[in-house]
Amino acid sequence: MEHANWLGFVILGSSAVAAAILVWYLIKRPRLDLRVKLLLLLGLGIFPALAAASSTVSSMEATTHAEFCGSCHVMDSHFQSAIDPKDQSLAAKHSRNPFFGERSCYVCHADYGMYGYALTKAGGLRHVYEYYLGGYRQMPLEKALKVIHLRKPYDNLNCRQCHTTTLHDWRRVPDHDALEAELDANRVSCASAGCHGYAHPFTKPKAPAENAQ
Amino acid sequence: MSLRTRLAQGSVSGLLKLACVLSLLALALICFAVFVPRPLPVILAMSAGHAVGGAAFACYLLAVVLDAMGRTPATSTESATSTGTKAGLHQEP
Repeated sequence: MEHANWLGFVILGSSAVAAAILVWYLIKRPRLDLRVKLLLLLGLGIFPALAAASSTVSSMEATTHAEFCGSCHVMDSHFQSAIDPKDQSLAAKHSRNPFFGERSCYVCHADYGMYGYALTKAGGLRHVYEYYLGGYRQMPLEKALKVIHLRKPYDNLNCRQCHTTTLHDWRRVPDHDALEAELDANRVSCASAGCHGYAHPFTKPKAPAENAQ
Repeated sequence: MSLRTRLAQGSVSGLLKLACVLSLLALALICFAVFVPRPLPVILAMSAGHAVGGAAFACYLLAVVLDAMGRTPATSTESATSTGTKAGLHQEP
Protein backbone atom coordinates (compact mmCIF):
# COMPACT_ATOMS: atom_id res chain seq x y z
CA MET A 1 0.00 0.00 0.00
CA GLU A 2 2.92 2.29 0.80
CA HIS A 3 4.32 2.20 -2.69
CA ALA A 4 0.83 2.68 -4.11
CA ASN A 5 0.70 5.95 -2.18
CA TRP A 6 3.91 7.36 -3.60
CA LEU A 7 2.91 6.13 -7.03
CA GLY A 8 -0.26 8.17 -6.60
CA PHE A 9 1.88 11.25 -6.06
CA VAL A 10 3.94 10.42 -9.17
CA ILE A 11 0.74 10.04 -11.22
CA LEU A 12 -0.82 13.25 -9.95
CA GLY A 13 2.46 15.22 -10.16
CA SER A 14 3.30 14.20 -13.71
CA SER A 15 -0.32 14.70 -14.78
CA ALA A 16 -0.33 18.18 -13.27
CA VAL A 17 2.87 19.18 -15.07
CA ALA A 18 1.61 17.76 -18.38
CA ALA A 19 -1.76 19.46 -17.97
CA ALA A 20 -0.07 22.80 -17.19
CA ILE A 21 1.97 22.58 -20.41
CA LEU A 22 -1.07 21.63 -22.48
CA VAL A 23 -3.32 24.33 -21.06
CA TRP A 24 -0.54 26.89 -21.56
CA TYR A 25 -0.27 25.83 -25.20
CA LEU A 26 -4.03 25.93 -25.77
CA ILE A 27 -4.32 29.42 -24.27
CA LYS A 28 -1.16 31.06 -25.62
CA ARG A 29 -0.95 29.22 -28.98
CA PRO A 30 2.75 30.08 -29.42
CA ARG A 31 4.65 29.74 -32.69
CA LEU A 32 5.67 26.12 -33.27
CA ASP A 33 9.43 26.40 -32.99
CA LEU A 34 11.85 23.82 -31.63
CA ARG A 35 11.39 24.99 -28.02
CA VAL A 36 7.60 24.63 -28.22
CA LYS A 37 7.90 21.23 -29.91
CA LEU A 38 10.15 19.98 -27.11
CA LEU A 39 7.80 21.40 -24.52
CA LEU A 40 4.87 19.65 -26.19
CA LEU A 41 6.91 16.44 -26.29
CA LEU A 42 7.10 16.70 -22.51
CA GLY A 43 3.41 17.55 -22.17
CA LEU A 44 2.10 15.01 -24.68
CA GLY A 45 4.73 12.29 -24.43
CA ILE A 46 7.08 12.09 -21.48
CA PHE A 47 4.89 13.15 -18.54
CA PRO A 48 1.71 11.37 -19.73
CA ALA A 49 3.79 8.22 -20.34
CA LEU A 50 5.15 8.48 -16.81
CA ALA A 51 1.62 8.94 -15.45
CA ALA A 52 0.30 6.02 -17.54
CA ALA A 53 3.09 3.66 -16.48
CA SER A 54 2.70 4.60 -12.81
CA SER A 55 -1.07 4.29 -13.01
CA THR A 56 -0.75 0.80 -14.48
CA VAL A 57 1.43 -0.35 -11.58
CA SER A 58 -0.76 1.43 -9.05
CA SER A 59 -4.00 0.08 -10.56
CA MET A 60 -2.68 -3.47 -10.71
CA GLU A 61 -1.74 -3.14 -7.06
CA ALA A 62 -5.19 -1.75 -6.25
CA THR A 63 -6.86 -4.75 -7.89
CA THR A 64 -5.21 -7.09 -5.38
CA HIS A 65 -6.84 -5.43 -2.36
CA ALA A 66 -9.80 -6.98 -0.62
CA GLU A 67 -11.60 -3.62 -0.63
CA PHE A 68 -11.43 -3.65 -4.43
CA CYS A 69 -13.00 -7.12 -4.56
CA GLY A 70 -15.62 -6.07 -2.04
CA SER A 71 -16.54 -2.93 -3.96
CA CYS A 72 -19.02 -4.93 -6.06
CA HIS A 73 -22.13 -5.52 -3.94
CA VAL A 74 -22.30 -9.22 -4.82
CA MET A 75 -19.01 -9.70 -2.94
CA ASP A 76 -20.07 -7.64 0.06
CA SER A 77 -20.86 -10.62 2.30
CA HIS A 78 -17.52 -12.22 1.46
CA PHE A 79 -15.69 -8.98 2.23
CA GLN A 80 -17.56 -8.28 5.47
CA SER A 81 -16.95 -11.85 6.62
CA ALA A 82 -13.25 -11.61 5.81
CA ILE A 83 -12.73 -8.41 7.79
CA ASP A 84 -14.92 -9.43 10.75
CA PRO A 85 -12.53 -10.06 13.67
CA LYS A 86 -15.00 -12.47 15.30
CA ASP A 87 -15.81 -14.52 12.21
CA GLN A 88 -14.52 -18.09 12.39
CA SER A 89 -14.76 -19.02 8.70
CA LEU A 90 -11.65 -20.26 6.95
CA ALA A 91 -11.48 -17.06 4.88
CA ALA A 92 -11.77 -14.83 7.95
CA LYS A 93 -9.11 -16.76 9.87
CA HIS A 94 -6.72 -16.43 6.97
CA SER A 95 -7.54 -12.74 6.50
CA ARG A 96 -6.43 -12.09 10.06
CA ASN A 97 -3.01 -13.49 9.19
CA PRO A 98 -0.66 -10.59 8.36
CA PHE A 99 0.72 -12.52 5.38
CA PHE A 100 -2.72 -12.29 3.76
CA GLY A 101 -3.78 -9.02 5.33
CA GLU A 102 -5.47 -6.53 3.01
CA ARG A 103 -4.83 -8.79 0.03
CA SER A 104 -6.50 -11.91 1.40
CA CYS A 105 -8.90 -12.43 -1.56
CA TYR A 106 -6.05 -12.22 -4.05
CA VAL A 107 -3.59 -14.36 -2.07
CA CYS A 108 -6.07 -17.25 -1.85
CA HIS A 109 -7.72 -16.95 -5.27
CA ALA A 110 -4.77 -16.03 -7.49
CA ASP A 111 -3.56 -18.64 -9.92
CA TYR A 112 0.02 -19.55 -9.03
CA GLY A 113 1.07 -21.08 -12.35
CA MET A 114 3.74 -19.61 -14.62
CA TYR A 115 1.20 -17.30 -16.23
CA GLY A 116 -0.79 -17.05 -13.03
CA TYR A 117 -0.74 -13.29 -12.73
CA ALA A 118 -1.97 -12.73 -16.29
CA LEU A 119 -4.57 -15.50 -16.01
CA THR A 120 -5.83 -14.12 -12.71
CA LYS A 121 -6.20 -10.67 -14.22
CA ALA A 122 -7.95 -12.10 -17.28
CA GLY A 123 -10.35 -13.88 -14.92
CA GLY A 124 -10.91 -10.58 -13.16
CA LEU A 125 -11.89 -8.98 -16.46
CA ARG A 126 -14.50 -11.69 -16.88
CA HIS A 127 -15.82 -10.80 -13.42
CA VAL A 128 -16.16 -7.18 -14.52
CA TYR A 129 -17.95 -8.29 -17.69
CA GLU A 130 -20.35 -10.47 -15.69
CA TYR A 131 -20.98 -7.64 -13.24
CA TYR A 132 -21.68 -4.84 -15.70
CA LEU A 133 -23.02 -6.78 -18.69
CA GLY A 134 -23.90 -10.20 -17.34
CA GLY A 135 -26.63 -9.10 -14.96
CA TYR A 136 -24.84 -9.37 -11.62
CA ARG A 137 -25.09 -5.64 -11.06
CA GLN A 138 -28.88 -5.77 -10.81
CA MET A 139 -28.90 -9.01 -8.87
CA PRO A 140 -29.93 -8.82 -5.19
CA LEU A 141 -27.29 -10.07 -2.77
CA GLU A 142 -29.47 -12.94 -1.52
CA LYS A 143 -29.86 -14.27 -5.03
CA ALA A 144 -26.20 -13.65 -5.87
CA LEU A 145 -25.08 -15.82 -2.94
CA LYS A 146 -27.07 -18.70 -4.38
CA VAL A 147 -26.30 -18.16 -8.04
CA ILE A 148 -22.65 -17.06 -8.19
CA HIS A 149 -20.10 -19.82 -7.79
CA LEU A 150 -16.49 -20.49 -8.72
CA ARG A 151 -16.22 -21.61 -12.34
CA LYS A 152 -14.03 -24.55 -11.40
CA PRO A 153 -13.32 -26.27 -8.07
CA TYR A 154 -10.97 -24.37 -5.79
CA ASP A 155 -7.45 -25.64 -6.41
CA ASN A 156 -5.79 -27.29 -3.41
CA LEU A 157 -2.47 -26.09 -4.81
CA ASN A 158 -3.43 -22.61 -3.63
CA CYS A 159 -3.61 -23.93 -0.04
CA ARG A 160 -0.35 -25.75 -0.58
CA GLN A 161 1.50 -22.55 -1.35
CA CYS A 162 1.75 -22.20 2.43
CA HIS A 163 0.67 -25.59 3.77
CA THR A 164 3.27 -27.68 2.03
CA THR A 165 1.84 -31.01 3.30
CA THR A 166 5.34 -32.32 3.83
CA LEU A 167 5.53 -31.87 7.62
CA HIS A 168 5.25 -34.90 9.87
CA ASP A 169 2.31 -33.27 11.66
CA TRP A 170 0.37 -33.17 8.40
CA ARG A 171 1.20 -36.77 7.57
CA ARG A 172 0.23 -37.94 11.05
CA VAL A 173 -3.42 -37.02 10.37
CA PRO A 174 -5.07 -40.25 9.12
CA ASP A 175 -7.46 -38.43 6.76
CA HIS A 176 -4.58 -36.64 5.04
CA ASP A 177 -2.82 -39.91 4.45
CA ALA A 178 -5.94 -41.66 3.24
CA LEU A 179 -6.98 -38.85 0.91
CA GLU A 180 -3.59 -37.91 -0.45
CA ALA A 181 -4.34 -39.05 -4.01
CA GLU A 182 -7.72 -37.30 -4.01
CA LEU A 183 -6.19 -34.12 -2.64
CA ASP A 184 -3.46 -34.19 -5.27
CA ALA A 185 -6.01 -34.70 -8.02
CA ASN A 186 -8.23 -31.97 -6.57
CA ARG A 187 -11.13 -34.40 -6.22
CA VAL A 188 -11.44 -33.54 -2.54
CA SER A 189 -11.09 -29.97 -1.38
CA CYS A 190 -9.18 -28.98 1.74
CA ALA A 191 -12.00 -26.49 2.30
CA SER A 192 -14.85 -28.96 2.37
CA ALA A 193 -17.40 -29.59 5.09
CA GLY A 194 -15.84 -32.67 6.63
CA CYS A 195 -12.30 -31.32 6.50
CA HIS A 196 -11.30 -27.73 7.29
CA GLY A 197 -14.73 -26.27 6.59
CA TYR A 198 -15.95 -23.99 3.86
CA ALA A 199 -14.02 -20.80 3.27
CA HIS A 200 -17.26 -18.85 2.88
CA PRO A 201 -19.86 -20.94 4.72
CA PHE A 202 -22.69 -18.43 4.29
CA THR A 203 -22.71 -19.21 0.54
CA LYS A 204 -23.56 -22.87 1.19
CA PRO A 205 -27.09 -24.17 1.73
CA LYS A 206 -27.74 -24.87 5.39
CA ALA A 207 -28.03 -28.46 6.56
CA PRO A 208 -31.58 -29.63 7.40
CA ALA A 209 -30.77 -29.68 11.13
CA GLU A 210 -29.62 -26.05 11.02
CA ASN A 211 -32.70 -25.03 9.07
CA ALA A 212 -34.90 -26.60 11.72
CA GLN A 213 -33.38 -24.45 14.45
CA MET B 1 0.77 30.24 -50.24
CA SER B 2 0.13 26.89 -51.93
CA LEU B 3 -2.85 24.73 -51.16
CA ARG B 4 -0.56 22.10 -49.72
CA THR B 5 0.97 24.61 -47.33
CA ARG B 6 -2.43 25.91 -46.30
CA LEU B 7 -3.68 22.38 -45.65
CA ALA B 8 -0.55 21.50 -43.73
CA GLN B 9 -0.79 24.68 -41.70
CA GLY B 10 -4.39 24.01 -40.79
CA SER B 11 -3.68 20.36 -40.09
CA VAL B 12 -0.72 21.07 -37.83
CA SER B 13 -2.61 23.61 -35.78
CA GLY B 14 -5.74 21.44 -35.58
CA LEU B 15 -3.82 18.28 -34.82
CA LEU B 16 -1.94 19.91 -31.96
CA LYS B 17 -5.16 21.29 -30.53
CA LEU B 18 -6.73 17.85 -30.80
CA ALA B 19 -3.66 16.23 -29.22
CA CYS B 20 -3.82 18.61 -26.25
CA VAL B 21 -7.53 18.00 -25.66
CA LEU B 22 -7.18 14.22 -26.00
CA SER B 23 -4.21 14.16 -23.69
CA LEU B 24 -6.05 16.21 -21.05
CA LEU B 25 -8.94 13.76 -21.28
CA ALA B 26 -6.59 10.79 -20.88
CA LEU B 27 -4.88 12.39 -17.87
CA ALA B 28 -8.26 13.06 -16.28
CA LEU B 29 -9.22 9.38 -16.68
CA ILE B 30 -5.91 8.25 -15.20
CA CYS B 31 -6.14 10.63 -12.23
CA PHE B 32 -9.77 9.67 -11.56
CA ALA B 33 -8.69 6.05 -11.05
CA VAL B 34 -6.22 7.20 -8.38
CA PHE B 35 -8.99 8.84 -6.36
CA VAL B 36 -11.63 6.17 -7.05
CA PRO B 37 -9.87 2.79 -7.29
CA ARG B 38 -13.00 0.83 -8.17
CA PRO B 39 -13.26 -1.67 -11.04
CA LEU B 40 -14.75 0.59 -13.71
CA PRO B 41 -12.49 3.66 -13.21
CA VAL B 42 -9.40 1.43 -12.99
CA ILE B 43 -10.30 -0.45 -16.18
CA LEU B 44 -11.18 2.79 -17.96
CA ALA B 45 -7.86 4.34 -16.94
CA MET B 46 -5.87 1.35 -18.14
CA SER B 47 -7.75 0.91 -21.42
CA ALA B 48 -9.46 4.08 -22.62
CA GLY B 49 -6.98 6.32 -20.78
CA HIS B 50 -3.99 4.69 -22.44
CA ALA B 51 -5.68 4.51 -25.85
CA VAL B 52 -6.72 8.17 -25.82
CA GLY B 53 -3.27 9.20 -24.56
CA GLY B 54 -1.66 7.15 -27.31
CA ALA B 55 -3.92 8.76 -29.89
CA ALA B 56 -2.93 12.19 -28.55
CA PHE B 57 0.75 11.40 -28.92
CA ALA B 58 0.15 10.03 -32.44
CA CYS B 59 -1.55 13.33 -33.35
CA TYR B 60 1.46 15.21 -32.01
CA LEU B 61 3.89 13.08 -34.03
CA LEU B 62 1.79 13.54 -37.16
CA ALA B 63 1.72 17.28 -36.59
CA VAL B 64 5.49 17.41 -36.22
CA VAL B 65 5.96 15.36 -39.40
CA LEU B 66 3.50 17.56 -41.33
CA ASP B 67 5.26 20.64 -40.01
CA ALA B 68 8.63 19.26 -41.11
CA MET B 69 7.21 18.43 -44.55
CA GLY B 70 5.80 21.90 -44.86
CA ARG B 71 9.21 23.37 -44.18
CA THR B 72 10.89 21.69 -47.17
CA PRO B 73 13.01 24.18 -49.23
CA ALA B 74 10.49 24.44 -52.12
CA THR B 75 7.58 25.19 -49.82
CA SER B 76 9.62 27.54 -47.69
CA THR B 77 10.66 29.64 -50.66
CA GLU B 78 7.15 29.70 -52.04
CA SER B 79 5.67 30.54 -48.69
CA ALA B 80 8.21 33.26 -47.99
CA THR B 81 7.60 34.82 -51.41
CA SER B 82 3.84 34.71 -51.18
CA THR B 83 3.50 36.01 -47.65
CA GLY B 84 6.60 38.09 -47.39
CA THR B 85 7.45 36.49 -44.11
CA LYS B 86 9.77 33.77 -43.02
CA ALA B 87 8.31 30.36 -43.90
CA GLY B 88 6.50 28.83 -40.97
CA LEU B 89 3.42 26.71 -40.75
CA HIS B 90 2.20 27.82 -37.40
CA GLN B 91 1.34 31.44 -36.95
CA GLU B 92 0.51 33.59 -33.99
CA PRO B 93 -3.23 33.89 -33.48
